[in-house]
Amino acid sequence: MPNKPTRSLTHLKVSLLVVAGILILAMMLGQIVYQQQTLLDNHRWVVHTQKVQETGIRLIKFVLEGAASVRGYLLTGDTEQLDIFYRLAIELPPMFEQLKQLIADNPNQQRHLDTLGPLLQKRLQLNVAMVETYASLPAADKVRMIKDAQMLNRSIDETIGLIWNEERLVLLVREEQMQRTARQSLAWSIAITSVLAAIAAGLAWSLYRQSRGRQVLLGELAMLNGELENRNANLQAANLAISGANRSKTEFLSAMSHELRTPLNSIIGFTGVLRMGIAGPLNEEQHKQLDMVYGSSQHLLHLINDLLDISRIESGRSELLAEAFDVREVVNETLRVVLPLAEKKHLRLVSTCDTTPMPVYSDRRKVYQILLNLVNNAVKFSGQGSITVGCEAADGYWCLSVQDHGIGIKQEHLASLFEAFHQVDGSARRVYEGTGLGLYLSKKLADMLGGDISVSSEYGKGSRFCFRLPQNPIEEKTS
Amino acid sequence: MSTRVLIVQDNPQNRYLLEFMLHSVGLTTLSASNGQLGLEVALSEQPDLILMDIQMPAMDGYETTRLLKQDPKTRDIPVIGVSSYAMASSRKQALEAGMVAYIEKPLIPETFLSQLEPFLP
Repeated sequence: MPNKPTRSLTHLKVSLLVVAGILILAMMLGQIVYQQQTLLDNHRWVVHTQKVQETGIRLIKFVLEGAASVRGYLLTGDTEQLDIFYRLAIELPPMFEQLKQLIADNPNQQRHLDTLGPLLQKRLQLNVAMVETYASLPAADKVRMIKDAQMLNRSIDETIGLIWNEERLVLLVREEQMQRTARQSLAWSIAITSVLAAIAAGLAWSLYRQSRGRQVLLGELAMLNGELENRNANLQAANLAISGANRSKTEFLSAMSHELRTPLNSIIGFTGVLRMGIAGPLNEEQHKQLDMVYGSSQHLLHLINDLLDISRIESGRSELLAEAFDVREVVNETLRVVLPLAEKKHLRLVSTCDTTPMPVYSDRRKVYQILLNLVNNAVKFSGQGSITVGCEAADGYWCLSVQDHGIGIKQEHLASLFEAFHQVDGSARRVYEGTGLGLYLSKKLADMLGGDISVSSEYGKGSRFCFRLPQNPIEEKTS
Repeated sequence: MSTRVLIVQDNPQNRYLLEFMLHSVGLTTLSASNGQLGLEVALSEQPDLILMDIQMPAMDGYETTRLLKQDPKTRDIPVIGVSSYAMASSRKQALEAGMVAYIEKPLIPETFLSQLEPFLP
């Protein structure tokens, strides 16, 4: 995914490009309007020039027609010939005025007009003089008057020619100007189009890159998703396999435990029946050997029970059955059970727990199991003296302590004390019978109950185990 | 006529152990090696008490007990579960099926007979 800063940067870029594009478009529009204006202007000037030239030609033609009209009258004496002479006298001044209006803004033309006006005036006067006086003049004057008239005609013609040329020149300048404007326009158009094209290309590239970037990101995302899904599927499969394996392990152990107990049941049962003498009297040796069978079968039974408990806890199938009870009851029950064994070893069992009530809401059976294990261990590893079970309240816990004066535990062995099948040294295993699972199981049970077990010991002097049980109710659940 | 106890148990050694212990205190025993046979013997012989194993082939102790409790002719015979299933839920299941007590194996010969006493006539 593109992050926020990159996105806003892209937005800024695109916005800038769009603004630039709009500005340039506006400039281009202005340029087009200006160009159009110039073309229109120019067209007007062309029309104007044509008008000037046309008027000039009409004027000179009129003057010459007037002259011809006078000549015709003088030759024929026919007054009808004077028709144009009269019209000329009336119409020439407005025609001149018209020409004057057309070209009055040009100083050069103004000068030509200044020349042309008096010439036309003179020509009209000469026309009148010729009509009125020509017949009565001497021949020399007639020739001079004719020559004057011809000269005037040429002058008028030349002046109009100058005006005509001036107009042509102006038109040429204008045309050149127009061409320049057109060229500039073209250049402008090319430049603007190029810039617009560049902007468009930039935008397109930016969008393309953005979309391609997005596509690449999307592709990567899809790939990552796919990978994740794969991994998830694998993990789920693995999880399933593991939980399946765990389940089958627990089921196996559960079934195994049952299968082991069935023959063990008859071994313990028949041993018991024989020892009780129900099947007949036994001699001393037979009794002694049956006691050994009995002890071994009990050991085997404990092993099976511990293994089953551990597998249940480790597979999360151990049930917590919470109930309200007084911890002292459990302490007393434990002491009652262990007492025969302690008496056999001449050990004293002491409890200091009788003073205050110790209510809890916990799994009674598991508390009993832990305490029994701790006290049993104390008896097992003590050769003499007393074993003291104490009860204290501390930090929201009941601390059930079991203090013995047995062989103790070396400092270096304390850490691994709660591991499975760990008895502190090989020699001890032979002397002190046990499953090697007791403390491991007790610790796991204590964890389940929300408590813990700690130990302090002095080698050769004895050990003190403390089982801490929360005073607050545990949650009823399957851990 | 002496008190008769029906033992429904598939394992021959354990069956013999139970028979021996019951005989030692003068009880008469009847035996069945599976649930189906147990139902038939219970119906025809009308024992005073039934010791029921839980795990058996074909029909387990829970199911056999349920069927015994459904039949008016066997409904009133007390059934005691005897099994090496050590889970707390097994005891619960046994009582739900209609058993009056549940004794975990391995049996302790010294105390076993006293556990039966409350249910004997």
